[in-house]
Amino acid sequence: MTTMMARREVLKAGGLALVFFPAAAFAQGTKKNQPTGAQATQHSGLTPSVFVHIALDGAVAITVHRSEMGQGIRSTLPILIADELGADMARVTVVQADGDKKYGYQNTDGSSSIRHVYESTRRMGAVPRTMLVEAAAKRWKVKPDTCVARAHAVHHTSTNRSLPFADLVTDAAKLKVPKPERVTLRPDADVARTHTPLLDANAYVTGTARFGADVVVPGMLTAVVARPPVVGGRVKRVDASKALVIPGVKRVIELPVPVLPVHFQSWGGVAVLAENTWAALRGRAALDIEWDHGENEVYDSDTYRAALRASINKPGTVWRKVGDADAAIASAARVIDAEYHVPHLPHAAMEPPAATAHVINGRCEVWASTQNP
Amino acid sequence: MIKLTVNGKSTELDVDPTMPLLWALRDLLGLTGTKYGCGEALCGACTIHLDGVAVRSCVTPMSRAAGKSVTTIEGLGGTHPLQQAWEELCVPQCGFCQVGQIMTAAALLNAKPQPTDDDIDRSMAGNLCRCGTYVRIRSAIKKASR
Repeated sequence: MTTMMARREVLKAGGLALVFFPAAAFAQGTKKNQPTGAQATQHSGLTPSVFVHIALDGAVAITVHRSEMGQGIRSTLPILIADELGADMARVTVVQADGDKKYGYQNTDGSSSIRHVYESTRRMGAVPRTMLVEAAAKRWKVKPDTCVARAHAVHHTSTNRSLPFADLVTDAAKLKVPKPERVTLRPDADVARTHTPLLDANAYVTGTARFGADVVVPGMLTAVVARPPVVGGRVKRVDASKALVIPGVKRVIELPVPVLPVHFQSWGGVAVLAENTWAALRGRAALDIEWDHGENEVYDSDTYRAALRASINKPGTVWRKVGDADAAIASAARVIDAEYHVPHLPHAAMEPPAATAHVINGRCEVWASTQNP
Repeated sequence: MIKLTVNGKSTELDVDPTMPLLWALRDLLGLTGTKYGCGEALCGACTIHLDGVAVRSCVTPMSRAAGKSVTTIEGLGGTHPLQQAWEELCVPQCGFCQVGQIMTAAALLNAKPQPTDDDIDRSMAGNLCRCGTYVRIRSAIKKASR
């Protein structure tokens, strides 16, 4: 009753629910999920980088290449770019980047996005601003450094002239794109950042923000996975007969077993595919599985703790050294001695990670809640 | 066949009567604003209104919803005072629980337009937020109730 899945069909997101849809749904699916703005091929307007597109009507699309997890990165990066550009936030739309090498490093991890891309992101806004200013300066026959870009227009204050971005896009697009490292950033004081709006707030409060499980494609199947109760475990025997008679249940598939250590591999288990989530959940509850718990069956928390404790006194890698802790403690008037131990912890995010996958002609398109597309 | 009203529209669904309302809304009616968090009425992410009362749709079987009126976030209007207050105060972080929070708060304001801090804390206690936006949630409810 079980079928092994081809490797390429397995989704790396490895959450509670996997969602599959058959080939028939493809056309509608891609139409609905078609990339827009800066991600789509641009035949008109100003596209100085993969992050910014300014349309002929002045509308700005900013592509965010990092994942939103509540840290606000889908607001922060567009605001940095819009501030440098001198754009009106009301005319900016945010586009979520696909996973693509052209965006550079996309792993949203370690609270490090801003530390790593703060300046380069600002430059992505400064480049088109430099071009728009140059286009305006040429039009007015003035020096570019006598012009300023703000509120979605370029201004020549001494002569009280202004040109909206829309009137400059075509000319600016004909200019050579300056190297990001060569453009001048605005002085920090010049950039407002006093009120940073949460750009996705309306989507969150109206329920239109799309999370991993919210990708809807007509005709898709929903899968839920019975995970091994012990990480690294495998199915010894599965009887899916009771699951397969539940109306709506289509298929039961045994997932590949991860190789220890698991790291970011899927945990494996048995997936039940059905016409809707409820049928899949009922199907999963009806599975009769006997597990082989694998080598972690003998895992013991106390033994692990003892191993951690023993490792404390071994020499380690010094990542950062400030001052002389040993000397400071030796000469301290008061020494506080405490021991802290933290058990294994899950992130326990409220959103159950989920992915939607479409496999056709050797290609697989995936929508997923992921930190690292 | 189960008949019910969803966001003011009468709806008939040929569905397993044990199916939780949550899955009928999300999978059959495409109303994905309502979220699945725990499936056991522990987190509140799936909160909707059943005849005006906040209930957990993940444990409300379709048989119980039959003949009743369901309101989801999609039916709240988009400009509800709570939604406006939530936006103004930038309440959400990851956003996943916020729809459930708003639906619980909306039922509270329907029943008691001027809630006290105690009323708010009691009513909202069952809605978890992993990001810890509770302080802003309470401020937004107070703002909307003014």
